[in-house]
Amino acid sequence: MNIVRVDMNARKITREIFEPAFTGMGGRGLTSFFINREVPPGCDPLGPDNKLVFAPGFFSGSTLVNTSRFSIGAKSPMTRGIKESNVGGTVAADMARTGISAIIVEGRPNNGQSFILKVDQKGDVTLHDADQYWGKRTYDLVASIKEFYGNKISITCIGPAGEQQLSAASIQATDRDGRPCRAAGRGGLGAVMGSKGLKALIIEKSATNAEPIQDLEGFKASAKIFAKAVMDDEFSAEILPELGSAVLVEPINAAGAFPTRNAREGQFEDADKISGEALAQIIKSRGGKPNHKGCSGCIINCSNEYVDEKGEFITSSLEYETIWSMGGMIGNNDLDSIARLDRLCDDIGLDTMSTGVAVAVAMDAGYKEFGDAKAAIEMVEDVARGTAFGKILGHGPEMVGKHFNHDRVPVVKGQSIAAYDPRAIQGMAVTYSTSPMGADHTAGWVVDSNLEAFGGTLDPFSAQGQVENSRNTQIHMAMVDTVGICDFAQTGFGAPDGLENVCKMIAAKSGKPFCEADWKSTGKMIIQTELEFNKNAGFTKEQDRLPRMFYEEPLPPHNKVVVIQDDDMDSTFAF
Amino acid sequence: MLSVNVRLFGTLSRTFEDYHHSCGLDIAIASRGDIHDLLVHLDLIGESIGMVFMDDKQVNNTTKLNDNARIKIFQPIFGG
Repeated sequence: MNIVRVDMNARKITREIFEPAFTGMGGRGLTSFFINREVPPGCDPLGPDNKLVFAPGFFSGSTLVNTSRFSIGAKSPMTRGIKESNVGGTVAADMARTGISAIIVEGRPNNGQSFILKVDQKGDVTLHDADQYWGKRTYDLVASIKEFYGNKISITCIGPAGEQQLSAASIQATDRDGRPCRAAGRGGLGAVMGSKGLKALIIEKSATNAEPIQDLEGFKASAKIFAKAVMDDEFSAEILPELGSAVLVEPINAAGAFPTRNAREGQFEDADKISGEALAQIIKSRGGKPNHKGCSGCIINCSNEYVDEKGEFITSSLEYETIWSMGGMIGNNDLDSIARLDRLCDDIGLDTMSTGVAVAVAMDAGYKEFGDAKAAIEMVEDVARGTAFGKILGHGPEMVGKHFNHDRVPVVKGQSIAAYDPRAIQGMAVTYSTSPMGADHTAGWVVDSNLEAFGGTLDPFSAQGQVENSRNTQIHMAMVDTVGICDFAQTGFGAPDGLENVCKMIAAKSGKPFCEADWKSTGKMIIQTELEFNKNAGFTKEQDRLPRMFYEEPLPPHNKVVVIQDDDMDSTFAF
Repeated sequence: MLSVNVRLFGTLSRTFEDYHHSCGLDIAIASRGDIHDLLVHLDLIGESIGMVFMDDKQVNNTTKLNDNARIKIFQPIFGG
């Protein structure tokens, strides 16, 4: 395994060969391993001792569909614990094809200089001065970079929020059309990148040095089975391409689990105006693309291109979580303004979820009225302008709550919840509370198993079975994020013996045996690694709690509160 | 006869040429009919059906239809 180490202080780039103790390492498994091994847990996340690790998924760059997932890890300035956030687009596939399994960025320039890190087709890595790019928003940045470096590159970059080292800063990655509209949004990793003076990582396309697959024919056979299952599944083959992830708006709202107006309600009365169905209709009527391929090797095409009334591009892709955070969560029923807020966040380099929730907390505190989209846009623009309020907002909901002395702040470990209220789907309470990543829906999405109509067997209002279910899902997701399979392509696990088939691909690529028991034990080991870092960083079980609002305020329309007891919560990872 | 308004979510409306999501479908169905009868009437029995709501309350196949009810029919979802 070829690892590149970049010392930003000495401007020194070295290579090392690393043989992980566990088979199938890539993505999150690799970033979490390096962060736990090399970063002092008590360090300043924005100081020279923190490290930023880039790692494509284990399957990225291979012929397996939907595996261009790029994991980025560091100690988070938002949660102050270990963090992995992953992003689609093209960068993971392109980096994997250079033969580099991870880039570890360490140190900090001592003179405030900024750099671009470039990996060429041969896998050679170089640092370039980037002072002329500092200060640029991401869309302008990628245009300038392409002007100099050409179009055949993947760009992973930060905007003004990352430069200001704000805790909600994202790292943006280019999609197949070269736009910086894909985000590793969570945990403020853009701030860590900014602290290292790294404006962008550029990977040249069309490299051919990917790590060899030991049993190519076996891998191809299993990959074919996986792809067929993705295409045989109605959700990934038909529903997502037509409506995208926004298809979730109406059913989650109907289930009473759509956090509205800073999670004061579980249903948004105007959900039909911001639904996937409404989104697709608006895009079609304006000549945009309701169906779009955003990531390398994608066969689902859940992305979209949202355009204005003149048919001019605004953003891609408008997704469920953003429609929630900039829509229902702030009481905004206008898709045009949601699209503009999405574009703005991509351009400034901000997590749309943390930012939307930060706006919601400010509105809840009385700073502006719920539903005032114009005010929301101004608030987000404040971040780029670097105003005092912009800095508060850019640090996320917890900082906004402190500023206004307002305690209705829906975060765990400092990171905002996602678009599923834990009072209406108790399983999400366990995931939000116990994930080493902070409140992170992708760490253990248990919505389907909580809703009978979607095949679930758990009562969404009961604690029964929720801990075990979330634990198993989180262990599974640690592996999904390690091999780099897109969340939505998990329908590929629906093939006959689906998990066994994926394990066969790990074995085929690595040349070492790998079975279902290994999948579970490796996933567990990854979570243990992350928990160890957090424990050493000073985390206790007190960090594994939701804010009081979720225990004390019944959520309409079901009027339920979180009922998972602390002891049960603490048993989730009592390995 | 009962009259109900039905809104179809996801891709369920594809086979209904004149379907407009903002209006839904106005359906007349035999009295004492239930949700299953409605699904048969709409020829949706072969489709994957997730949640069904009647007047904002989740219901199942055997729930009797109310006159002038607003029905929402969803497909199964997956996410992350």
